Amino acid sequence: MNPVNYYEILEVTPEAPQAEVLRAYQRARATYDPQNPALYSMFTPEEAKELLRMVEEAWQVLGTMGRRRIYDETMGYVTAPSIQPLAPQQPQVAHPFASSSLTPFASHNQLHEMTMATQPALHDEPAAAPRAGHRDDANNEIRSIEHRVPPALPMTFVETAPFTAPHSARTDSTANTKPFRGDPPSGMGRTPFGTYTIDDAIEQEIASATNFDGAFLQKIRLYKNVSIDRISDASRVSRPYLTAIESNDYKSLPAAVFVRGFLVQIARTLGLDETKVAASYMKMFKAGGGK
Amino acid sequence: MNALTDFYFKKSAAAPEPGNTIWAVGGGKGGVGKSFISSSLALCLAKLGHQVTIVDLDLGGANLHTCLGGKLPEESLSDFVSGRVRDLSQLMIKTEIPNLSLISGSNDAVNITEMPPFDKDRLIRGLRQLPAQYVILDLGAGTSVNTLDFFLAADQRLIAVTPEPTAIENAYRFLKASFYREMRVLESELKLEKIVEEAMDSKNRFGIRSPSNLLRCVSEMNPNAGVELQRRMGSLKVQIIINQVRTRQDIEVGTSMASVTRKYFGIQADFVGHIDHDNAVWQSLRKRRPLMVEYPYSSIVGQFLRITKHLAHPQPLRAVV
Repeated sequence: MNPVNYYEILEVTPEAPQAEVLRAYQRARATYDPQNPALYSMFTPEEAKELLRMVEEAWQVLGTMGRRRIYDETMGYVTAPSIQPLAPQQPQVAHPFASSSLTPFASHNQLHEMTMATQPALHDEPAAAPRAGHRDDANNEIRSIEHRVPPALPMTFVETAPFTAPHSARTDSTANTKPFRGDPPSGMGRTPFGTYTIDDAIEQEIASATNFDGAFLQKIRLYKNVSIDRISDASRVSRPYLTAIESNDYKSLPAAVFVRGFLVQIARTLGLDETKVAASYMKMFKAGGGK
Repeated sequence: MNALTDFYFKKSAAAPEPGNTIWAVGGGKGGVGKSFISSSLALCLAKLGHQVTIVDLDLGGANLHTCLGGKLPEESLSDFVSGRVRDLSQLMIKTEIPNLSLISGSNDAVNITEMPPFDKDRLIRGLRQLPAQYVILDLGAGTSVNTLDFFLAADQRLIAVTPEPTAIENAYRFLKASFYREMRVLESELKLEKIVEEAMDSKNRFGIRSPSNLLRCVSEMNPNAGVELQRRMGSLKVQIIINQVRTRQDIEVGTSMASVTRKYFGIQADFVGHIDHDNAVWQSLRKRRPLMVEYPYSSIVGQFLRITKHLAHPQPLRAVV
């Protein structure tokens, strides 16, 4: 009754292989068959029919690999581990031709964005970008960047995808969601995208908050130095929807089941309690005439 | 009510006692094999080398001693409830099966079914302190408050059901009663009575048709305590055993019931196994000898052993490479 997503209807996990989804579907169809004695006294035949319709609907989406992937992406179920193992298996990226045209530019941007918050002075050095741009060999280039990064910076980002597979936009955005290892400097907090200065008053407000409306979510996002584009890239929720959530524009948002998924994504990105955020926002969403 | 709330409070607040593990076998309808299943599980556990005590809590209709092939015991639970016996362990009677002892409910006082809450709490505390590794509770039919509280106090809650509409209906009724009993206790603990009442009143406005809907609705009305209530109720877990299976479809009733229970109540439910319909059962009962002793090589002994091992030593499924 009233499950949150298609996986809950079929009682499988989002990681379940396709064959398991098929078995779950067959099981669910047998369970909610109106003739099944196990439904007796719990669901009326009409309710059973409705449940069966939900099972069929879930199967329409999850039963097809393509649709399932799109659904997963919309709901934010695709996680980095499924893509990252591929990155080390792409040695062709380090090829001189690939690197001379693409790598320096992309990696410099990456580096710039990653280090901006803690080391703004580093990038005022004018020679850094052109020097990197003329390197022939990508490996040398990576080493040179490593070399330029002060050892005090607790980063191991060279291991993540951006430098090994920079021409793949998909890999880029998912790799970004992986938090850096190491602790941020004292007085600073860390999001998957960078650092921010901790403000006790706001932290207090977040900890005691029970009502996460759009404006408050926006306030938290700005406080944590995360741009809408960054959230959108990482969660693959489109920008108009994120803006609509933040401006409490319930009418422009899709069905409740999707909005809940978006909220979970936003909450995870901002390091908030996803259950709390989703529950309180969905309450307002329903009261405000959302679909 | 207050005494009960206190009991649950203490139960949830205190760390789990290192003592014994309590399994309760309930199921609503009479004649689905609760006594047979509980005595067989107890025998299996004893056979696996555990110290087991089986307690006949079918108050007013106790006959477990007959299932185990003993003679009518002289002392029973009534002596503990009335205060004649202080220590519950004094009532433990050794059976002819090694490692297995019985606390009988026979010879009971006429008014034992209306046991006051205080005595019930004392009895549950006594059960927790019994010197045994496993304490098996054989509950009575019906959904009386006492039966529900014994069921909810257990660590492992088993629902016995036969694949017939009457038994299925009563099993769900029993689950529903247990669910609301547990929720009533948590409600007052989390101070949510008002909101739950409100949600129940406006049932149709929110489209609430099942307990899981209700929980979700409450957590949307009051995110903090509501989510906690949902979490605590979600940790409630029942195990379903299908007895007297004759066809393949009968087995699937178990899988379906577990799924329906999860969807409808939003609690955890597992189908742990089925027991075949077997003539050996009534034949051994006529002889007043336990099935395990009389027909140790019958197929349903194997089914009981499998269920017991699954419950006592759960092992995750592993791929064999």
